[in-house]
Amino acid sequence: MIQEKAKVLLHRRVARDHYRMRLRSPLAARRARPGQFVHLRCGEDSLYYPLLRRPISLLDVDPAAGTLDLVYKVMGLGTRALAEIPSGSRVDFIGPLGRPFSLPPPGRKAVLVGGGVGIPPLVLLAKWLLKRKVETVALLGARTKDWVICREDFRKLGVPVHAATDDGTLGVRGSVVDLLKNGLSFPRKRESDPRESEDDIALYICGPTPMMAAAAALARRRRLPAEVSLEERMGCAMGCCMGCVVEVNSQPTSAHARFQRVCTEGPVFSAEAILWKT
Amino acid sequence: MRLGKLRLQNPVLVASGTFGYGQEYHRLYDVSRLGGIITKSISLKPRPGNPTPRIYETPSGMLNAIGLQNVGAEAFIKEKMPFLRKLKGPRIIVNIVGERIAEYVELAKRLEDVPGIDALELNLSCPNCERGGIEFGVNPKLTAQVVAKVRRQTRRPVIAKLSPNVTDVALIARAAAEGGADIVSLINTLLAVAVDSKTWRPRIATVTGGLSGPAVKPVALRMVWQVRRALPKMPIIGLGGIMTAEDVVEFLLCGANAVQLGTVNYVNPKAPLEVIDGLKRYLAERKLSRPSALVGKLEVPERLRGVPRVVSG
Repeated sequence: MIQEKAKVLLHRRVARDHYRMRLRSPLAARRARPGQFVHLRCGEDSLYYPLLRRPISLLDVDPAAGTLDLVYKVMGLGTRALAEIPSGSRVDFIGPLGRPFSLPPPGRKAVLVGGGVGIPPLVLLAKWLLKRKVETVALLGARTKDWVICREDFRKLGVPVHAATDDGTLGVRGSVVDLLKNGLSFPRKRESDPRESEDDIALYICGPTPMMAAAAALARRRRLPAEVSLEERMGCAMGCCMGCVVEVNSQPTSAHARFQRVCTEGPVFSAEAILWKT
Repeated sequence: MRLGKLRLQNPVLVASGTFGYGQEYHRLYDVSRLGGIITKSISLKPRPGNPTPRIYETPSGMLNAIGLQNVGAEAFIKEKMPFLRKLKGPRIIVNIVGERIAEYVELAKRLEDVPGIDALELNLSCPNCERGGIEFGVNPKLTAQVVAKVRRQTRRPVIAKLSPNVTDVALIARAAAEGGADIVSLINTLLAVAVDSKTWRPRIATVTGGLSGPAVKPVALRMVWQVRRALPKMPIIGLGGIMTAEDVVEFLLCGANAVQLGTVNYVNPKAPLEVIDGLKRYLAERKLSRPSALVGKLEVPERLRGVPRVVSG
């Protein structure tokens, strides 16, 4: 893990309220794994508002070029300040941070389920899955077409994308969980035994909490291994402040471990580990 | 430099709760350069902490209500002390917390024979479950009692960390001194509330939280100044919103002998090192040999110097 002031090589708007940023940091680019994030200082050094850093997930990493790509959505004060940082200047970041996605053995199939601003980390994951010869499809959803971001990134990787939008402007009208329910988009080997055909499928889920909870419930019903990548307000992102915790299904013997840190034990968790509040 | 019986390599410590158990930030820089490391509050038994959301950013500050989530004394001794013990430079100060006086006493006893601990800091901002949940630190009698009882259990220096949520902080500081505190540190966080006007809900699950960061610095400076006037000889560690070496100078001028850095660790993890170097430069530029040359040197009119008369208590 490193902290440095990385040069912003590219910073541009890619959709309404969404920006793509490319940072140069060869050391971080060599170490970064899918699912990890960087913790960015958003404001001017002399101003203390926004005070805290913002965690942003990695969309793409190029170890050869020494670059990290991020896509974020302007949600509030921090990301608004971030959006004003011009290309060519520097951004103070800490990273790469957090527990990455676990990759299935070759020969498995992966279904990526992404909602809105939860889509970007799945792009880097898809890249790594393809390197391991894991057959991958992406089910992407958002409120409207423009916010089903990163479709071009998946297309370049050759990952089939199925979309769902609340307003029906892209793909089917409805949620990405509906897409998941209506078939996992892989041909079944033997229709008679649905479990066998689904056995080798792994789900990777990132998006708004209700969507992740619904997808996690579906995964449990179908006994599919599933990982989720969570987002929380963070203080330090170093595992110290205990501010970014999530409640997990704890064992009675470890009551103090009821809350786990999204920055350290996560952001990627097994979907079953999370105590979903629905 | 000296802080009561404690010898420090420099006056810059890191505050409890913002620095874990030292190891976390050691991944980013060499923490052995710090003057001291104050651990996250340790309770006798592990504590799960509060429901979420636990933190919220406010103008130039942040609110937190973590609820003292920690691994408990036994796991702390077994898993966290080995790393801290190995550090040669910084003083290792263990912050302890309890819901009743007996818990503080028990903790002090348990830690007494654990090697590598240089001092204990008492977190007096925990709700006292024997007194309807009021903070120990807002009541002078309770403050004196906790300090005195811990004092009898340990040979190590005892630091009383004072709550700012009081009418007269000097009164509490005096009570801590009477109880036998070797050092006082102040301020802990200010009790505060943040609200979401859209949803009508509090931003923090427990409604109230502790405010920290640059927003609280003027309050902290005022309180350090008041305690220094009330207790001219007491070693004081000042904290509250320190971001830079200049902030440290302000605390020293108001009467602090050393400082703790807290929230800034989240903003700029290497701030403690920058502050250590910046303070050295500040002193060198003014041909001052040591930080103590600044302590209590705030330029004020004659009538505001010296010890104020005791009005209350």
